[in-house]
Amino acid sequence: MEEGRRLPGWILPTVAVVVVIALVAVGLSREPAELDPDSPEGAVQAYIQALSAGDFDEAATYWATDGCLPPSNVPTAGAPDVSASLVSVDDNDRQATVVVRLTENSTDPLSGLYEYEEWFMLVNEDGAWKISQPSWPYYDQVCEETA
Amino acid sequence: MTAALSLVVFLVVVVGLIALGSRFWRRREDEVEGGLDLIPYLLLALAVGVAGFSAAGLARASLTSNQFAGTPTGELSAALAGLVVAAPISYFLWRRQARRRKVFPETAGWPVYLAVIEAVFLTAFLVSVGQLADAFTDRAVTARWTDLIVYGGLVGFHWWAERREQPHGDAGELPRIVGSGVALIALTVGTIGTLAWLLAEAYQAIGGAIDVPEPQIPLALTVVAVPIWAWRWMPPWREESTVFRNLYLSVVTSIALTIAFGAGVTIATVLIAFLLGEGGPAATHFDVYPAAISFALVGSAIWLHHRRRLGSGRTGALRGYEYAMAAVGLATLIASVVGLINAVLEPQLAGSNTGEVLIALGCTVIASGAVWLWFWRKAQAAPREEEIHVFQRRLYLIGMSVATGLTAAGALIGSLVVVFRALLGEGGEISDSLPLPLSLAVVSGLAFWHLFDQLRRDGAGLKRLEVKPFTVTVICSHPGGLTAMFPKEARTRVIYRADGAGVIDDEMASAIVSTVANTSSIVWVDDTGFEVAPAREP
Repeated sequence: MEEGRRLPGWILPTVAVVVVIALVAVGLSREPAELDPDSPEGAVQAYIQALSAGDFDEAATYWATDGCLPPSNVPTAGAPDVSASLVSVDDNDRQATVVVRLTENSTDPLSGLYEYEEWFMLVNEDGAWKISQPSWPYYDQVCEETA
Repeated sequence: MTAALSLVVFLVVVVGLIALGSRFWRRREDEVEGGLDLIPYLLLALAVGVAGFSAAGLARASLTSNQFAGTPTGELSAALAGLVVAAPISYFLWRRQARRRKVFPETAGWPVYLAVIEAVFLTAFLVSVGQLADAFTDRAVTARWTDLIVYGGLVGFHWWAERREQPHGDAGELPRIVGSGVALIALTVGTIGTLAWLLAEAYQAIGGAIDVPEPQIPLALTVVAVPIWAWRWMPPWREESTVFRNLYLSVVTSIALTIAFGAGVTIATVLIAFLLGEGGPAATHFDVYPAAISFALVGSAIWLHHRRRLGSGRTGALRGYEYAMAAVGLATLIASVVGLINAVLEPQLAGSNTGEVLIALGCTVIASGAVWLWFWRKAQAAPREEEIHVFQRRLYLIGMSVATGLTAAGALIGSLVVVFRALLGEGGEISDSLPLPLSLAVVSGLAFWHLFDQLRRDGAGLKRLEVKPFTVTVICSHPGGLTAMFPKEARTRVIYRADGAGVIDDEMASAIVSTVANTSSIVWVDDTGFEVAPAREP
């Protein structure tokens, strides 16, 4: 009686495979979240998206006017190929710290993914959040003080 | 294009592994044998673990991603790779073990597997509850509700499997014990956090200066952990206790009492320091009270609940609890006495908080000394002939002897290094660096001497109590742990009753061993208790 009511053995794996395929399809077709551009995390999002798209002039508009800035707004390695997710935001009226997890695909297939956290320090300049002392992805450029 | 290619690779690998697995297992059908089956079950646990966390990663990346630039291809690839390898292995091993359980229903591997899964995924589920609660108040944290579904689903599925095919044997209780333990930890964290928040609010309302903790995570943990703990712990257990349940009860009860005592000492220290004028203004001086009172209340409640379940006779669980508390008391006593001596001898250059430190150490010495004395005296008051045989006492005496002996020897070497350096004209003031190793050597040495002397007395007692061989015939439904409690000179014979009216629990077993008093006897057990009649010597 109980044996007769049991599902065929192939049903469960088939359902699991279909669910996996559906999840992958959803994941790949999802657009990144649209954050408020007036918030610190929104400013960082726009900055990373501009850098990833190779629009370095647009990215440089998110730099703070004061502080230590890279001499060139073009990163030495070109436009970074990364995906980014938000880790934390710590802010007050004048300054903010946004932590982002960046994932890069390694060119070596055995190395897999290269994942790290990047801290963005922001200051509020006339109501807009700007990145002070941008280091990523300009690590190899010695910054210059601007007044 | 790349996405389509990866899906094709995924499908080809999964179908290939399924086909290979089917052929392999079908060929081995005839080679089935019994046994513990631990290795296949541990492999299954590993595969289910990888598949479960990969599935959670996949669902997280697809449905609750906090991505704000690019696509989560990295997370998706890692999850797919994990699933491709682990899911088919899980499927085949699950089906294989299900078939074997029909032939060998009492294998120990099944409860061990369920316990491992319960420990891993119930913990993951409770962590995801905390994460979800955090996401409600922190705008940067994305609510990962998919974790809740995947981990909760895995836990629920295994609970269902456990109910459908209940594990047998002594290890059969392991999944429930592990589930109770995990839920109790979450419940403890949750209730302490919730109480600390409420008391901090009250403290602030009466004018105290304190940082009020965020309540969302402890509240969520409490709400979720209460039903899980009740579901795993509260239903009736088998009458005869098992070594795992005894161990769990001993550990939980002793940790709960240690928490309560630690909090009590903190409360007393802060109060005494304030009364002696060592603290600052009252508004800030008592800011530790909300947390300390929460620890004390929750620790006491857990202790009270579990202490009742230890039984009133000298059960294995009660012995484990008492010797564990004696060990905690003695170790804390040694540490606090050494700390107190060094705090007293420490040269004072300018104003410091030495007064409060001395009060704290003094309170700890008194409390730990009282705990150790109380539990050690209780152990010494138990009937000697039975007590000196028990495993818990041997473990306490030998374990603590080794620990204190090694500490004393190490500290003595440290003291001699200081002395020799001074004699050879090197090093600073001997009075600065000698008190710590010397006091540690002396205090640990005294403790070692006490423990070693006790071991020696137990050894002499064993010789004096050497007994002649005797025979005990027990008529009961189930002997429980009785046969293991008799000395090795006993030859025990059990005649099983056909009904279930004569089950021997740990408490009754202990009483039977005392009454038999190493003489040949016949023991009758029924639902009113037991009776012992002397038997003719063999």
